[in-house]
Amino acid sequence: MTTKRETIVTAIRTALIGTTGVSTRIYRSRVGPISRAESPAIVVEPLSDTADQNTSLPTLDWSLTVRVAVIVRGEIPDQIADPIVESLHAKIMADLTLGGYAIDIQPIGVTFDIVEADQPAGVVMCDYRVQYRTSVTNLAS
Amino acid sequence: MAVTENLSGFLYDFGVSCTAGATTALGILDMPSQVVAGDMVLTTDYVLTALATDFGTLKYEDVITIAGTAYMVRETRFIDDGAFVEIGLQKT
Repeated sequence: MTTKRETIVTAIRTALIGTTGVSTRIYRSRVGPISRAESPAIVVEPLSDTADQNTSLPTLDWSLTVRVAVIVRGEIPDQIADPIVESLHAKIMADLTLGGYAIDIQPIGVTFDIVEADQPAGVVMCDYRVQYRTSVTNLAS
Repeated sequence: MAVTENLSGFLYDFGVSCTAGATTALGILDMPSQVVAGDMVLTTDYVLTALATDFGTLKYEDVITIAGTAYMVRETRFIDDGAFVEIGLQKT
């Protein structure tokens, strides 16, 4: 069995297929750096997942933070990333249940990291909170 | 007795032809890879070492052609006694 957490992160990566400008360069938890030739690209990774037991039922309410990082190169990196961010946001928010696995998805915020490189580079990090529920004893259901 | 140095000798062995504006002279181009932006971006740190008298006045966005390839200046840094400069570059 696969945990709902893993299913949700995989579903987000799948939902991002077709995002403007990145072709097939959508990576799941990629740890290697993105070269200039590989840009623009997207990296999807989980940041944290916290649980609360809010009901008397044997369930856990989870709050999963997922980061979608857009890596671009160009003279004005944040401007180059803008249509990609617009596109990925629309794709993630198109189905707030991610195929029935999530209760809700909420944008948390966007962080910009613009750095000097052989061509100016930018990493635009879009963070989302995904709420979902599991049973107390089984993270897959 | 004062010693007269010929600093150009430093560039003879590994220098390549560089042209910026009306100036053509030798410079040594290094291009090590480096990882920046929180380990997410792989880049090449193009740096040209040259005589300050040749290229010391280059500034941001000036173009310099090195061995036939055009680069844009990021910054010009004087090193040691200021006789040489290291010029950070980005590939256009």
